[in-house]
Amino acid sequence: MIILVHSETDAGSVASRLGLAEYSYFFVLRAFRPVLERIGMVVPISDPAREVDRLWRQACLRGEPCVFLSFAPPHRTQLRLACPTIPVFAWEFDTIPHEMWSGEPRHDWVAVLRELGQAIVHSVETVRVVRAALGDDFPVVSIPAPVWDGFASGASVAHPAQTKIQWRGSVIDTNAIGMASLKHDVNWVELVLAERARGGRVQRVVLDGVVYTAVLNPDDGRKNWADMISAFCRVFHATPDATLVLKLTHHDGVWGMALILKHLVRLWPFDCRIVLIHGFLPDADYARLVAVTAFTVNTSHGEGQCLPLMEAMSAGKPAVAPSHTGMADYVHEDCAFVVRSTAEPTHWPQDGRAAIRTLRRRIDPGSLEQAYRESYVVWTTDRVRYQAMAASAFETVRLHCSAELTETRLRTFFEGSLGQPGMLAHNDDPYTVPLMTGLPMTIRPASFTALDQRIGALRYFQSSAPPDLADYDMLDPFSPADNAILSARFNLQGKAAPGNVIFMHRAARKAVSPTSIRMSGTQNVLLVDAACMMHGSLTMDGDANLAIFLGDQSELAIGATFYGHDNLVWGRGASSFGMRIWMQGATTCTIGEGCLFSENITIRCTDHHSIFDLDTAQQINAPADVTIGRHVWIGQDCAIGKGVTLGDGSIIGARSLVVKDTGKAELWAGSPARKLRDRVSWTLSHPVADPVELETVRALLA
Amino acid sequence: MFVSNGGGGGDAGFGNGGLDGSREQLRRVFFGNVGSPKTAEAVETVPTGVNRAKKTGGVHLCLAQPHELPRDAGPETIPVFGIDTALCPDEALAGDRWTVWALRLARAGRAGVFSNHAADAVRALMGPDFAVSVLRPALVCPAAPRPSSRAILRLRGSVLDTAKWADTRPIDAPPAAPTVTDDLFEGSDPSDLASEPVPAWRKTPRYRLGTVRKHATLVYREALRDLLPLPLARLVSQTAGAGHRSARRILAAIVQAKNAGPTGLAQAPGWQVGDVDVPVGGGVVVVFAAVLGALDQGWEDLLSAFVATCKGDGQATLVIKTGELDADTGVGYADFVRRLGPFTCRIVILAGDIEGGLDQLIGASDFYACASHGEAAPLPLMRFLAAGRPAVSPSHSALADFVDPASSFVVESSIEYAAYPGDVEQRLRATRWRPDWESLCRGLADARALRGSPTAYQARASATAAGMARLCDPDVVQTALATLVAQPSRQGAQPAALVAA
Repeated sequence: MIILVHSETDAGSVASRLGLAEYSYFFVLRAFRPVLERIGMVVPISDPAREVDRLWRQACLRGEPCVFLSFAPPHRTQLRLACPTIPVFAWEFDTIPHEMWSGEPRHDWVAVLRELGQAIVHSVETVRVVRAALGDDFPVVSIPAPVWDGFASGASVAHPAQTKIQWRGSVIDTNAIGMASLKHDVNWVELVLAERARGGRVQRVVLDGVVYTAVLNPDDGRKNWADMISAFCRVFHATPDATLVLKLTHHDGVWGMALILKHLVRLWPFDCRIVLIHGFLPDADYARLVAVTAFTVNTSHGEGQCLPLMEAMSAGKPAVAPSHTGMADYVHEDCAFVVRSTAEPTHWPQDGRAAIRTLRRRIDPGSLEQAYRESYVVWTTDRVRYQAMAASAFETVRLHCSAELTETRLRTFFEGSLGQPGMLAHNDDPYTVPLMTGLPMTIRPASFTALDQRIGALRYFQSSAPPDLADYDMLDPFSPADNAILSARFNLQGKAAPGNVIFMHRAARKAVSPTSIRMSGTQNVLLVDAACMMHGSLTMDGDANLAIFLGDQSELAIGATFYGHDNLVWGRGASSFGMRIWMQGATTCTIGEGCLFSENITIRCTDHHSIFDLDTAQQINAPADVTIGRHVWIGQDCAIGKGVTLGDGSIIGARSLVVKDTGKAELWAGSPARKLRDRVSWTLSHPVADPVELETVRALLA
Repeated sequence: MFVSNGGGGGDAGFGNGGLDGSREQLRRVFFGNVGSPKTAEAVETVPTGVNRAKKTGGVHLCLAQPHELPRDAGPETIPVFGIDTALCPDEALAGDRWTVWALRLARAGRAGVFSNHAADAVRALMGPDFAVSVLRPALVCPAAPRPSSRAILRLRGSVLDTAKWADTRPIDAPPAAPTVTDDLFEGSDPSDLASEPVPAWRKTPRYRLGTVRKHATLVYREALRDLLPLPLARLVSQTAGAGHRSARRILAAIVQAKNAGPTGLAQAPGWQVGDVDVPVGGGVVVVFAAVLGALDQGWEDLLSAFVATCKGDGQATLVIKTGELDADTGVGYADFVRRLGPFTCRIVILAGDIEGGLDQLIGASDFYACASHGEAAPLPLMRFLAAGRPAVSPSHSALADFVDPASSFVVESSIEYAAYPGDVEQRLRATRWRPDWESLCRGLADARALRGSPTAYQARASATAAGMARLCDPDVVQTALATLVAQPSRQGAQPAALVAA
């Protein structure tokens, strides 16, 4: 199994993004990765729009299941991929966004999740919230990040009476900085700038006593450090051995420190000790910090899951925490001093309107004080109970998020979702996209990107009646049933590369059967309309080519070679008895409606090889688009050069070489071709022009 | 007996009681009908009261919290006050020993307070024997309260009425004011100021100051700092904070002068300014009323709980009466109402004076709603209760005297950390109460359901008025005051807190 994974923050950028939007998804992905590697081959993706479907098609060709796990909230998850996409996200509010705002439909998570069709979240509460919006049968599962195994070994470490930790960064220790001299109107800005200038020094702190530890981002209002610290200082104002260590996760921790220090000044005097740590703690020192911790603390308004709390509890540290949102799954009376909380109204954090649409949890500071008091008493006087709580924390989090259980949950979910019919095709609902031309095209999401990029080519047909593409049968070369047809008729074997999408009318299958299409590269799209008869071959090399045939032609014998990002748009009713089109360098060759091509015609959008200026080394024969207008007749053995536009209704005499644009209703011939006449055109009927046809042509050229 | 109205800063102790004119009104309510003019004389200033009481050997009732008493106040001066925190402050404010409550109360030897809660807090500070009397305002309660009826409230001021506001859907956030953290740490890029023009009514003092500061910081840093001699640069760095504070004061004063009164709100969406007639109540409409002082907290909870409870009920109305609002606050209310939208229930915010006083509003209301974080003397609530309007309210601080399950819908609350009034350092020494939002919703829903049953509602209304009649009987108030005045001052009593220390 191939598991494609993506988070917006990656290892390279995490240091500078700490505390910024969505940074924590990096840590969630990091925790999941070892377990995912047990299940399949994990491929990190940096650009989902470009990479995912390509890899998915390769996997499909090999018959290997492939899934894309997007570690991002739904509105930041790549949509309309062919590959099954599972958003993995954390959420801590009692509703998911169910309306759109700022003109961005993706803010409506309900619509996004409905399109994605499945999700992985990290708590039972989030499952409830998602299902409340999307129905009880929506495939969403709670799989918390598997952090237990990494920290469980810490549970066996004896609790040291004191420990020394050392790291590079900043520290504020209320026992060491002379709190009494700090005034509420101190110039915090100068303080912060000075500290920042000194930043990055090696810091050493000795921790002892009853250590309460919290890891949080001071910039995240949901973490509610103000209540955490206020209650601590009030309860332990005369307890010198009570210590609260805050490990700050923010790329600019000094500023967060200043905010907290400012708050501490309002709480001063107190005998207890507050230590603020900022900077990267080496693993050994982090382990020592966890070991010396007596209780891990959380006072959030809401948590998707809370990795730091889960980690510390894995190491056998009882918690002082509320049992709400993500924490409800593993914080209970046996392993924690549970802090009471109540609901309060708020807005979804990404909602710029700040519309009040949901609830978060308000911590009851009285209950928090009680939890601090009780925990201190238990630590100092009741070691038996403490040990029981520590054991319970260890076991509770094991059942919550051990790697073993996580692996089982993931496998079950993947089996459930990948086993469903249509899962490989992912989304069988036709996706109706109103294109810029106003053509109501029914295409599947997979091809949307490819079409959308080059849909400008369709502009030419704006005036013509839109094809009723709802009639199209969508042949998927990679579904077993369709593949049989295609391999018999299109000779794709061995040559086909992933990403090609072929659309053809069901009635046209037999008619196109002699055609040979070779597609390599990715995201090549071929639309073949009804009653199309095609002889010859289309060779699509390179990436992202598009060929659209709008049908109704009497004969279609062409060979076309695409080298990447090239488009061929073949107008309705245009017929060819033998022509070759060469495209290279993102060129577009447009054939107007009702054109007539004789035998042995070549259209070149490219010369294939460079002609360059000896002095400047610049290429002087760059590829260029060729546009053949409507109702153009090109005689036998003609060649049309790159960049040429032929006007509507024009005629090119046999054996001509056209290198200049022609006007409307002109007759050109010769090598190079010259204009011989204007105000002429042609009809299919002969020897006498059919009066109706004549009128139609005149109307076209009027 | 002389009665003075403690001057000084803020409305601290009287907090939410400060309805319109606050202390003067309180003085009237508490003492206006107590004793004859011969025995109670209102004096203009506190020092006058102190001097004349000293000269005549009389008693001086001073409506002020202990730390606000003049330094020469002796045993002749009795502080009369309320508190809206859980306890009395037990340490000096800004290092000034004269502000220590225990010492000032010990010097006065006795005290009058507005609630049992305050009396308990004073005894907790001074010891159980300290002479403290509860003085409640005397209110006249009708035996059979009149049912609510439709009223046209004629308001002089500004009105926000969602029934007259076409579009209350939430809008994208207004351009944020550049904040201190922004301009100091995010680099000073003027281009990240709002690119769209900001309407005048959005230009709060904070926004204006932020803009000035942002550009000034940029100019200074980029164009001047490296040219200045080091001592001068240091000076600028050290005084910039003070300069900012003065600039803030000046700018706020200018903006306030310009936006003062209702005119500043004239352009803000949602608000109607001038003399406005607001029809309220009548028929099957359930009207919740709330009266807020300028500094009151809890109005967001009240608005959001009301909308959460009555969102689709076109018959439910919440009327909030405040004093006149400046543009900042008014826009704040309107923004919050928008964030709650869309809804079909009705929110009316009356900012200004109702012609004919509060009685009009009381007459049109069915319930009084309160989400206060602490009340020293909840006068509006008392007046609504006295008129037989049951309350949806927490039962903490002074509210505890009046809000009980028999008459009201009691809202639970939990503590929150706060600073004592008058503490410029804003140290978190005090606790107040934060109403539980879910419980507030339940209270509003229960009240609304009760209104659906006229007999049950009428019974509750009568019980409410009867309860208040007992509590605020003029005889009781007079007796309490007489006892307090007659109480010999026990000056020199050692406050419990000091003994313990």
